[in-house]
Order: sequence, then C-alpha cells, then structure tokens
Amino acid sequence: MGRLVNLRPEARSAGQELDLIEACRQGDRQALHTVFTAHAPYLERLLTRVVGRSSEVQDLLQSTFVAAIRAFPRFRGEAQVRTWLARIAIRTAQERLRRAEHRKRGELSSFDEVPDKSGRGQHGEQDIDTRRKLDRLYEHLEAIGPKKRIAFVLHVFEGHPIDEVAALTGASLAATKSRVWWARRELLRKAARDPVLRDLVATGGER
Amino acid sequence: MKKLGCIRNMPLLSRRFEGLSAAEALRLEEHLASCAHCGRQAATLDGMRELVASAPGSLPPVVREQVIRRAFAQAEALPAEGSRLQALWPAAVISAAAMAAAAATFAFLPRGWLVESERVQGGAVEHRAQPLAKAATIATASDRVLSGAVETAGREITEDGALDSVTLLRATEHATVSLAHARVQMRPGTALRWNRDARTLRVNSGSIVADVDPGARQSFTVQTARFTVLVLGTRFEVLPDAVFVERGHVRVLAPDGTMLAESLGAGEQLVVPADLGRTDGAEPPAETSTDARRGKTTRKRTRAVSARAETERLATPATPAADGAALLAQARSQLARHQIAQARKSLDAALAVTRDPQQRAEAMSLRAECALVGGDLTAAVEAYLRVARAYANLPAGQNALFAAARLESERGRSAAAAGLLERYLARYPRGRFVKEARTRLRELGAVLDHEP
Repeated sequence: MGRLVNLRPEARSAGQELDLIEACRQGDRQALHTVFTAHAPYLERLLTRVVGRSSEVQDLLQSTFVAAIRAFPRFRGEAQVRTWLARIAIRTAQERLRRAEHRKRGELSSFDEVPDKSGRGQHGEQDIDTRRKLDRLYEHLEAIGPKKRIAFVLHVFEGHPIDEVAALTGASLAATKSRVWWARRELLRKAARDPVLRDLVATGGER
Repeated sequence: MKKLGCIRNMPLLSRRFEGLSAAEALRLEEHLASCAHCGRQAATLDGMRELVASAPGSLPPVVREQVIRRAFAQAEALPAEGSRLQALWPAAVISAAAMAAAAATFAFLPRGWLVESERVQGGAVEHRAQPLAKAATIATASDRVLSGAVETAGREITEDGALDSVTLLRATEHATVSLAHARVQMRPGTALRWNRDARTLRVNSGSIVADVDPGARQSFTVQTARFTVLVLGTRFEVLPDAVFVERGHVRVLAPDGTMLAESLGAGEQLVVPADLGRTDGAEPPAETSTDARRGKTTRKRTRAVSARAETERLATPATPAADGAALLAQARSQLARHQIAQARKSLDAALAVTRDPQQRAEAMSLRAECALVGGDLTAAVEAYLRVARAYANLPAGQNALFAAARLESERGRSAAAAGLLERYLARYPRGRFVKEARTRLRELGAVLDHEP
C-alpha cells in the first residue's frame, strides 16, 4: 500500500491501528508483516513457556502466522490483535501437545544418560545444570497433560489473570481455576520427589 | 490437614503472580512467614518461575524474519478456506504440499544432503551427487493399477484394476501401480513380487521408481537380489545394482543384514557390486572406494561378518566392554531385520552393561534409529538431540545433531532445521558436515555468520 506505518504498536494512533488492521483483513502482505513483526517477541516467549523447547517454537510460530493470515479476513476487532494472536498460538500449541501426548514414547531411557564430562556448556557447568532442571521441569509438565499445563504456565509463569487465561484457552473460568489448582498440586508433588529439582523445593515434605 | 489460615490465604497465593493490592500482599506475606507449608510452596513456585524465565524466549531477528516469510509462502500454497480442494485433501497432504512450495529452492539444488556413512561394509560403493528432480505427487491408498497394464497370474490388469495382496506383477510397457501407501512406476520388462501384509516389494527384474507417502508413517521395504531398501517417506529409484534417492532418505542393507548405507539422502546414489554380501566369513580381497569429491582412491580391507560368525561371537562369554559391543551388533542386526522391539531390548541391555561413552553414544543413536524405522520421526529427532547434548564432543554427538537437522528438514519443518543447522555450525565450525550445513542454510535463506 506504500504507507509508512510505525512498527511499535504503542506509537501508532488509534486511527493508524484501525487502518493497519483493515489492511491485514484485506490480505495486505506488508501490513500483515508489520503486525507479525510487532507481536512476534511476545508470541515467541509465550510459546517457549508453553512447550519448553525452542526447536518447537519456530514451527509453532510459523503455524500461528499461517492460521492468522487465513483467519484475518474474519477478524472483527472483538479483541486486541495481540490477544487474538495469542489465542491462535495457544490453540496451535494445544494441538501439538495433544498429538504429542498420543505418541508412543518408547525411547525414554531407563538409565541415566552419562553426560559428556569432558565438554562444558558454553557458559560452564551452571548452564548444563540449568538446562537439566529446565528439561526435567518440562518433562513433569508434559506428564500433567496439555490443558492443565497450558493453564498453569499462562497463569503462574506468565502471570495472566485467571479470566484472561480462560479467554486464551477457550475454557470456562471454573475449569481454568480447577486446572491451575490441579496442575500446581501435581507439579509440586513431582518436584518434591525429583532429585534434579530438589533445590527448588524446601525440605520437610508435604502435610 | 490445612489450617484455616492456609485455606483463607490460598486464593491470594494463587493470585500472587497477577498482582495483589497492598493490603492483600501484606496479609499474604504475613501468612507465608508463619506457615512453613505455604512458604515452601511459594518458594518452590518462585524457583520454577526463575528457572523458566532463564530460558531464552526470543528468536534471533533473522530467524524470526525467516519464520514470517515461510508463513506467507505456506499460506499462499494452501487452498483457499472453504474450497472443495481443501475439503478433499487430508491435512497431512496440504501441509506437505505447502512445505514443498516453501522449500522449492531446496528441491532444485544440485546437491542434496550428503551423509558420510561410517558403517558401509563390504564391497565397493559409490556415493554420487545427482541433480534432484521435482517432488512427485504422493501415492494414494489401495492396491491397483494407476496407469498402463500389468500381467499377473496369467491375466492382464489395466487401469483401475485391483491387485491381490500377495501377487507377482510384470510390466511389458511403462506402468504405474499403487501399492499400500506407495506409488510405483514400473519400467518395461520389470517383474515384481508384492506382499501387502509385510509391505515388501521385491524387484525380480527391471527397475522401478517408488514414491512413498510419509504421511502414512509406515515402513515400506524394497528388495532386490543384492540389497534391501528400508524407506519411510521418500522418492527413490531401484535398479538391480543401485539405489538413487530423489527425496527423503533410505537405508540400504546387504542380503545378510549388514549395513551398506546407514542413511542415503536426497541426491545420493549407491552402487552395489555383484560380489557384495559374501557370507562365508572369508577375508575379502582389498576393496576400493572412491571419494568422488576429492578425486582420490583409497584402499581398505573390510571384514565381512556372516550371520553365523556373529552368532558364535555372541555366544562366548566376554568382558563387559565386549558384551556392550556384542549387544550393539545384535541390535544393529535386529534393526536391519525390522525387529524394533528386540533391538530396543538389546540396546537397553547394552546401556546396562557398558559405561564406555562411545558405546553408550552409539546405543542411544541406535535408539533414535529404532524410532526412525518405526515411523516415529518426532521421537527420532528427540532421541538424536539427546545424543547430541550428552555426547557433544564425540563423533556420535556431531552426527546426531546433523541427523536431527536433516530429519526436521525432511519433515518439512524448515524453521527447526535451520535452528539445528545453526547450532551445528556454531558447535562444530570444522565439522564433517559443515559444507552441507552451510549449503542447506543458504537454501533456507538464513544468514550465516559462522565463517572460520
């Protein structure tokens, strides 16, 4: 369309924002590119928190943008664009996690993987330790189930209010509260029994 | 049992991350200071939040730009929403077509993925790079003749005619048949034996081009007198003495199960000489392999291990290190025969007895191959990445990282493949696959900044 549009959402006027959204609905590639570039960092962080693997994030982000391109003509401005995109991203992640849950996982080793002690992470041993803890945390999250996991991550890790989590996941408020509660309880129990995450949990056990 | 104070403050604990009013925050802090249980829970959750926050959550701008560009390309390749075509196509086909369109530059490259096999045994084999052809359409289900005519059991079957689940087929002219989830082009004079239950096709004479649908996630085997080709989703050509891969990857085995090519990728060709597969245990004459890229000829002796000798070796008591090696050899043999469950058990046993890093790395790599042969590409990628992480300083770790990148690319997950390739180049600036990795990244449009 040839118009210069400010990349930062907060710097655009309301009128410019409406024009931009309308252009996106018309399939204007430059407008879509502007919107995606502006909101990509937030979506990347969201997806990273949900799935925990950076190798998955790129593909999920791409799938999110594809879905957004195809759905934009139907977008009527009933929500903020960022929230709308986040909703698509969460749905995409939910689908991916649901498919992953059904996959047979016969390759999980019953033996500890012997780390290559001769090689350190780029930032020393601490990096490897952090990575191990993160991997283990996400393994426990995987075991919790996609719906509880996503609700918990959005609320506890991302700090979204419960009603916003409900809107993002397309669930009722009651269901969302229940999922967060159960996820927190299960995760804390698993973490308490896991030697890798031991120093995240104070000693004493549960009541 | 929770105290009354805990129950009263639980909602505040839940909302702590949303932001509380000053009064609520003060009340909660007082409770946490006096209640060990709730204090522990709060501290644990704080620790988890810090842990998660430490993980990088942003993509490099250049990768982000690639993701956006690929999304546009993928969206353009998809049929319009609500169109009849979209209703007819299964989702997997749409996805595959979109990814093929987005990765068009890759499909037309003169060189594909060159994988150097460390396990080529016996005979002289050649790896040649060939121009790649366009990706063919994916085969449809049900056994039938798609075009031309074939002879079977004394009768002629023409277009749309059904084929038996176990049948001998002969084509006097060009013909195309649909067999399970593969589309097979038969050249004139080709004779095949098809067994649908085993999903095995034997080429008795002539040659074929097979296009196997990766979406079916089932194995497909093509045999000749000289070798067996295991495929998951690919397009490849089989002649009596050679295999040429256009798309995807295959594994090639000798008749006795020994590995001829661990993974033959797009653009690669394997020529198998007539004297391959000697199983009498005798020391073969010195063999020649040619490195086409360097133009040098190297002579090396290889020991042909017969199945009988392997069995005898496994039967004799040995040291733990030897046991580990024997179990690994057993697993390889089982994997070659598609005995995935048995192979996994052998690998579990190997991991139980050996602490040797090289053997453990190989065992874990073979577990990835179990997933690959079983059709679970996602699990295979994850397993390869585990090897890459745990054994980064061993050749197995380097190979595993590149294998994961290659698999992601073949699955159409270009963004993930690019990320893994960048990781490979950063970790192994002088690695054995550097050239291929750079070429692939250029095709994906990523900017390289790993020049030595």
